[in-house]
Amino acid sequence: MYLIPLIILLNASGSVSGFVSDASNGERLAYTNIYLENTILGSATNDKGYYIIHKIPPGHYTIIFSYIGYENISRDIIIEENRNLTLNVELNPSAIEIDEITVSAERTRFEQTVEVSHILFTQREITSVPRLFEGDLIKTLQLMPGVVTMHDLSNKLHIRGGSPDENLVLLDGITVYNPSTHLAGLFSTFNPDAVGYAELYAGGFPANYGDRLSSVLSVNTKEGNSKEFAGTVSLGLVTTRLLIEGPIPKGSFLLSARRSYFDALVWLYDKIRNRDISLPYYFYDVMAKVNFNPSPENRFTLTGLSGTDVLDFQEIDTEAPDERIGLEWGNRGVSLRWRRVFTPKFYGEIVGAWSNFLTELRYEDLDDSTENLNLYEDIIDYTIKCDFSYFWGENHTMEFGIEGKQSTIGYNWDFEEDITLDQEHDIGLIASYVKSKIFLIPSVLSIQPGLRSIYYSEGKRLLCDPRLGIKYLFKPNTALNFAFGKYSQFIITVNSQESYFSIFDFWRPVDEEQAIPTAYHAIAGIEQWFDEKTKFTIEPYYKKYYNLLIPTEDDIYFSAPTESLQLGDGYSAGVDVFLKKTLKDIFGWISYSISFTKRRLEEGYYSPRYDRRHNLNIVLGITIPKSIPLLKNGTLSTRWYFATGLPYAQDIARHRYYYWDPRWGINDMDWEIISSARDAYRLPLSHRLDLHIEKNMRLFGLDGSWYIDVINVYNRKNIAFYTMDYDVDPPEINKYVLLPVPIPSFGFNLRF
Amino acid sequence: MRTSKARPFISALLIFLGSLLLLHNGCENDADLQYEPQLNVFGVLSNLQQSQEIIVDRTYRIDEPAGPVIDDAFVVLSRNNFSDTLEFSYSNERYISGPFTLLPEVTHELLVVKEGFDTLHAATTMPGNFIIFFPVYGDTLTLQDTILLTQSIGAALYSIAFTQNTGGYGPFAWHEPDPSDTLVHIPVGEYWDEPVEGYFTIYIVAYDSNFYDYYFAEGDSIIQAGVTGGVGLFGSMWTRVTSSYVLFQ
Repeated sequence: MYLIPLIILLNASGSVSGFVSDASNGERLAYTNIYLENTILGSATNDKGYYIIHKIPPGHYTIIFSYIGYENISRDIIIEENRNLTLNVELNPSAIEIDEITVSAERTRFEQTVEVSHILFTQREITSVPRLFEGDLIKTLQLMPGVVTMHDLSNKLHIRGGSPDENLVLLDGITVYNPSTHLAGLFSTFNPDAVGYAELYAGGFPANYGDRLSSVLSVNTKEGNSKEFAGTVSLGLVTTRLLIEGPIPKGSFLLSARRSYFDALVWLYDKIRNRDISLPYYFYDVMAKVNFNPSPENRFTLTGLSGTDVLDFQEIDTEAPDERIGLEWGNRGVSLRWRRVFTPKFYGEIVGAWSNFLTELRYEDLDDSTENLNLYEDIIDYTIKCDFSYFWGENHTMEFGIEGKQSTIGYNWDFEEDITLDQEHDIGLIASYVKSKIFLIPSVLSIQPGLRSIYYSEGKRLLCDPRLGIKYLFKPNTALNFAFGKYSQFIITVNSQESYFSIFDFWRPVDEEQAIPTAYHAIAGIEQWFDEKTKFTIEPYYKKYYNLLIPTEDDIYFSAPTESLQLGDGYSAGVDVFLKKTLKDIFGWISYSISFTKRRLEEGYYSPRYDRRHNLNIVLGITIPKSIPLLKNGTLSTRWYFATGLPYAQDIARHRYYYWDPRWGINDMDWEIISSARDAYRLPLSHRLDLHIEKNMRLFGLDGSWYIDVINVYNRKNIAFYTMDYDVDPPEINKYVLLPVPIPSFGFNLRF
Repeated sequence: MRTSKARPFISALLIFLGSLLLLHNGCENDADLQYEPQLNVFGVLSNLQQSQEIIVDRTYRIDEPAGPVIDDAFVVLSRNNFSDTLEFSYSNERYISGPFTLLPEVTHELLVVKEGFDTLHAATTMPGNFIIFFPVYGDTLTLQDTILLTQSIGAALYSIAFTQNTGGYGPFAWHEPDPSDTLVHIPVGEYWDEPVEGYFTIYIVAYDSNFYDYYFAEGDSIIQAGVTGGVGLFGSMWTRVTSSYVLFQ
C-alpha cells in the first residue's frame, strides 16, 4: 500500500546524527543546513532540530553547521565503517537581524519538505504586527492568505471556506477546543510571550493530523532557556504578563502567566473613592513547561495550561444583593512528551495529554423568590499519541504513529431540584498513520504519500483517509506543489458557526446514526523564491464537503440538541496568493485570497456568512531611520486590509398579517416581515489601516521596549452587520460599526 | 541594490491597488433594496354569511411608511358562471359582496386589480358539507364523550367552539383530522378539562387547506395561501351548528 523504495545497503559507510540547538537558550533549531566540506553529502535538521547524514564513506571530514543569523560551526569528525557518530552542536547567534533567521529556515524547509499550504510563524511575527491591545497569534493568522474573519473584532478563523470548528488547534499536542475565548473572543488562549512558533496548514495537511475537515494550527511553546535565568514583564492596557524561564538540572523550565487587571483597578478605585462600582469580569491564563534531558537520547517535556474567564455579577446597589450570576469558561490541559532517539535512524515521540474545556453558568437567587439555575458543560480528552520517524536513507524518511483518544462530553442542567438534564457522551477514537517522504529524483521530485486509518467507536466505524503530496522543483528556486487528501471529523459543534459573536462553541460527537462529515482537498500551487529573502506562492484549491452537520443559524443556546442539525454538503474553491519579503530594515508581506464558498441544505445552495470573495492584507514594517529623534532604530509596522462584503439576509418588505378566530373574525393584526434569501445581499467593503511603533529602552537598568498601536487610523467605519428597528415607521436600518473611532493602545515590556 | 530588491514588492502592490480601485467602484455603495410591492389580500369565505368580505392591502418596502388598506381596487369574486364585483365599505375597511351563495366542494376565485401592482388571482375550494352524529340537539356532552361527524371533503382543519345561549363564549379547540378516516372523532377529554356546565351552541367548522397553510403550516408561515401574484390568504370554511347540554366535570 505504501511506496517503499528498494534499499541498497552499503556496508562500507557510516553516518553522523544529532541535535542542533541555540547556544544562548538551548532552543532546538529546525532546518539548519549541515554538510560535509568538499563533498556533496549533507542534510538539514527536521522540525525537532534532529539531523542525520547517511552513507558517508569512512574517513576524516569537516562537518559544517550553517544557519543564517548564527555563526557557522565546523567540526572535524572521523566516520567509521558501519558506525554512527552522535554529534550535538550549539550555534551562537550572530549580530544579524532575527527576521532573516526565519527566512533561512523557510528556505531550507522549501528544499527539504513536501508541504503544501503551510505557513510558519515565529513569535517575532506575532508581536511585530499592529494589534488591538496586545499581540495575538490568532490575529496574526488572520493576515494570512485563505484566512477570513467576519468583522473587525472577530477572533475566529475561517480558513479556505471552512467554519472555525473545522480547524484542529493543538498546543504542544494538547487539543484546544475553543482557542479564542478571552474577553468575549478578543484574545486567544495563547499567551504571545510563551509561543515559540506556530504552524498553520491551511489545507492538504499530512496523515499525522486528522479529525478536522479544513486545517491544522499547531502551536509550539518555547522550550525555556537552558542556559540562564531570564524573564519578561509586559504591561498593556488590558493585561499584564509575566514570563520566567531558566535552567534546571539537565533541563529547563518556562512559566508564563497573564491576567486582565481592569477589574482590580476598578476595585482599587472603589476602595479609595468609596464608589459602588465594580467590573465583574477578568481572565487569566497560566502556562508552564519543564524540559528534562536525562541523556542526549532522551528528553521529557511536561506542559501545563490553564486559562479561565470569570464573570461574577451581583447587584451592589443594595446592601443585600438579591441575585448573583456567575459564568466561567476556560481551557485546561496537561501533556507529557517523551522524545527518544532509539537509534540514529529511528526517532520517536510519545505524548500523553489531558485537555478540558469547561463552561459553567450559575444563577443564584439570594432572596429565594425564584429557582436557582446551574448549567454546566465540559469536554474532556485523554490522548496518547506515538509518533516515530525512520530515516531509511538520504532520500526516504518514513513517519508512522498511532493515536488513541477518549473524549467525554457532558452537560448538565440543574434547575434547583425540579428539572435536571444530565447527559454524557463517551467516544473513543483510534487512529494510525503512516507517511513517507521520498525523493524520487533528488532535489527535483519528491512525493509524500500517506494513509490515516481511524476507528470510531460510535457505530463502530472504520475509515481510511489517504493523503498525497507532490513537490516538483522544475527550477532550483521554483516548485510545483500538489496535494490531495480525504479528511474526516468526528466531533462537531451544535451552535451556528455563522454567528457574528460567540464566546465558545458547544461540541458533540457524531452519533452512530449520523454519517461522518468528510472533506476532500485538492491543491495545486507554485512556490517561487525570487532570492533568499523573497518568497512567492500561488495556490488554487478546491475543497468538497459531504455529510456536513450544520446547526441552524439561530442555535446559539447553551446546549442545542443534535437532532436539530441539518445534513448538508458544500464546496469551497479559490486562489491564495502570498508574497513575503524580508530585508534588514524592511519586512512585509502581501496576502490575497479570492474564494467561493457554498453550502447546500435541503432548500439548495447558499453562501454562508463567512463567504468573503476578496481578502487582501498588506503588512509592512521598517526600521525607523536614525534621523528621526526619539524613535530612531525603533520599528514602525503597518497593516492595511481590504475585503469585500460578507453575505447577509436583509428584511426587504413587510405586510399586515391578520389573526382570525371563527367566533369573532379578525381579532388582531401584526406585521409580517419578508426577508431576502440568506445570502442575497452583501455588506459594503471593509478596509482599515493599523499602526504599530515599538522602541527599545532601558528602565531601572533593564532592557525593554515600549509600544504604541493605533487601530483604524483613518477611522473607517466598517459595517459588521445590520439590525432593524421596527418601533418606528418606516422601520430603520441600523448599522453596527465595531470600531467607531481610531483606537489607541500602548504598553511596555521589560526583560531581565 | 535595495531598489531592485523592492521592485517585485512595489509592482505587486501597484497591481493590487489598481484591482482594488476597480473592486471599490463596484462594491462600495450599500446594496439597494430590490423589492416591488405586491397586493396583500385577506378573506375567509363562510357559508354562514350572506355577503363575503375581502380585505385588500399591500406589502411595503422596508423603508416605506405604512399606509391604510387599499380602497380603490377592482375586486371580483366568482364561482362557476357566477361573479360579483365587491364594493369597498369605509366603515369596515374591506370589500363586501352582495348576497353570494357558497357551494361546498366548489372552487371559488378572487381577482384583484389595482393600478401599479401585479394582478392578484386567488382560489379556494369550499370544504364539503358534513353531518354531526354526536352531539345532536338534546344530547348531553361529557368529558368522556367523543364528538363524531363525517369528514368534510377537502377539510384540512376543524374548529369546535362553544357559545353559551346567553351569548358568552365557552371552550374552543382546533382539531387536525386524520384524512384516512371517513369519520372524524374528537375526544372531548383530550381538549378540555376545565369544569363547564350549561346549554351551549356548538359551532363545528371545517377549513380548507389555504387556511391551514396560512396559520398552521410547520416552519415559516406561508404568506401565499391560495394566492398568486401577491400575498395573503384566500380561504374558506364550512360551518355546522348543533347544541347540547355540556357537563364537563
